Amino acid sequence: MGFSVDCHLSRLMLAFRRSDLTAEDAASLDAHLGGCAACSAAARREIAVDSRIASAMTAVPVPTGFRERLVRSAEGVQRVAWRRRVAARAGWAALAAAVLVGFAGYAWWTKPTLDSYAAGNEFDRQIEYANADVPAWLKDRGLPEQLPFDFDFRMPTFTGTGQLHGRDVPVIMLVNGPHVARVFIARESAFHIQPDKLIDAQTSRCKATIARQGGFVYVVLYTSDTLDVFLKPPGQKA
Amino acid sequence: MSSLSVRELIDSHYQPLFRYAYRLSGSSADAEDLTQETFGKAIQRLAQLRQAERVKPWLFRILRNEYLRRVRDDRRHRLTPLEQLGEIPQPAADPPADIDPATLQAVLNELDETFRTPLILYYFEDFSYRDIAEQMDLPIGTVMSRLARAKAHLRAKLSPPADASANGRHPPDGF
Repeated sequence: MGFSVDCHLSRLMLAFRRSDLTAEDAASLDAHLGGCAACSAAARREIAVDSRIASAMTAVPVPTGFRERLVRSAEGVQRVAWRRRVAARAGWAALAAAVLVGFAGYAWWTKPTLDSYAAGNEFDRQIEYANADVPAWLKDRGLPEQLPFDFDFRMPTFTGTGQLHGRDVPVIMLVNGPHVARVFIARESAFHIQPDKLIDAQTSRCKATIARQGGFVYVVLYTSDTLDVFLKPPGQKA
Repeated sequence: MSSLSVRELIDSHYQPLFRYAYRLSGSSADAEDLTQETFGKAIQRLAQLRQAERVKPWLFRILRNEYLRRVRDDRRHRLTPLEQLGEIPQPAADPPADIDPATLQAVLNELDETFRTPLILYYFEDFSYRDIAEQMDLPIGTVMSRLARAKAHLRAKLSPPADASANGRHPPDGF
């Protein structure tokens, strides 16, 4: 059985008109609006204002290439998740096998199959542009155009996406003769920041230095003795 | 779930998720991070999704939780609880036909997340009061109250001030 809706009640019900009213209540509201010019005008005005705000609210441009970056990232997550699931299911059997044959058996079960074509495809996805306009590339990605190091982008330069601690982040790669430098760029908020883990480091084949600027972290890995070989000569302007 | 299904998941939802993340965080780079993290978590938890038709609110919930986790200790922005705003002046007119997106974002950025989220979700069309209440684990009455105040605040900020009618403009017909 329906009920009578007056002007006061109709103004209250208008707030629920979209999807929270039952069919019966919606019919009662519509019946009132059909016969009341003032409430009908108020409803039209309310709907129009909401529509304008909704249009503005959803008017957010999606960055170019974002879908492709998401798909690559998702595929990486799927590969890890699949290996974990397989390892979990076979865990007990693998543990027994490991007892019988040792850790070599477990490592064999979880290691990926080496595939030159797949490796080439992975590198293709990571290297998007060669000798790119780096400032424009940074701007397009919504990143600060000013880097904490004055790199010389006249040398062969590549931009793309790379993995930093399992996360896909923008990366710039510079090549100077036999030496390579990679600059990973990420927002500080994506990582736990512990100052004692940000000091310069040296491994068997490369050096690492990390800079923080404007809410971003810049992780630079390079194979030369100093980072200077990738920087502009002193006194050279942009 | 097959690769194709994950791609379908992304294709169907990455744009509204990014837009939601942008309106929450106010930053395109943060929105990218949040969206990427959301899909990463969703892929790992797909088995937990009981009803495929609820995937959209489920994704939105993951994203919001990730946003809250990141800003929990971040007090870079001074946020204004609506209770401290006092009386909101009644605007003389409705928001203009072309609302400046930057102005809209600025108004959103000054709101506490507990008012910002229901406001954003309300205007992302498909979310009812019930959906918003589920998203935020709140009683529906609380959602109604917060949304009413947040909408009034938003409209007042987007509309010309009441004293604009005193600047030589004629009042509307019938007054």
